[in-house]
Amino acid sequence: MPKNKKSLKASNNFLKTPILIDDNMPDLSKDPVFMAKHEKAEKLIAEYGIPEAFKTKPKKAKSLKRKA
Amino acid sequence: MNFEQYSIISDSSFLSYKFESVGPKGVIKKYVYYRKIHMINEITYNLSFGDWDELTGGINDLVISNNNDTTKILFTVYQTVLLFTSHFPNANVLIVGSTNSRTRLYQMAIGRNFIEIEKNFDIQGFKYGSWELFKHGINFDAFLAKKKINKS
Repeated sequence: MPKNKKSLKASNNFLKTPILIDDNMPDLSKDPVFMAKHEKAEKLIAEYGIPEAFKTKPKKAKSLKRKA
Repeated sequence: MNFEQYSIISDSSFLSYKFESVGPKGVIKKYVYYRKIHMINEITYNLSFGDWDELTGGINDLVISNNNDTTKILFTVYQTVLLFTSHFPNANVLIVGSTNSRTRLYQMAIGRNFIEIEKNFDIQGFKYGSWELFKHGINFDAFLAKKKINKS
């Protein structure tokens, strides 16, 4: 096994085989095809947002009142 | 849903994944990337998927590889969604095909396996400028998946 790869033994029990880790993947943020697609996706979300049901619910503020 | 899948390699950020499709056209490197979409208060990642193009040294998401393993590839991509959301459980995952036919392919794959997918994710489809619950028989332009929170 190459030095930069290691087997992941995390609790990914849905996977049939353990995955390998490789930190030498190409940086796609410099890839024009990838970035063009990403910009299209960003535009869609910027214009139309996400479904209400998928929005993060704001956490209820903790009451400052102390129990008497 | 119990299909064959390819072995997945990830980077340690769990945003980048790769695997190799093996078939009559040879070995084709596939990459799946999750990139954050900047939004206030919401965490949404765009799923990008394509073949590694040795000539350009980049992704080609328009090529049709015809390696007779579409189901195996799509199931492997689904496994990356499971992996990604196991590390980013609050993230929404946006899926848009690079072409209409590819979006349709994703639609059919989701539709065929919806009962299983629905156990893990809420899925909405984008059509006519709005989001709605995924339904069979509607050709959506994009999909958004959110991992269901296991309350048990």
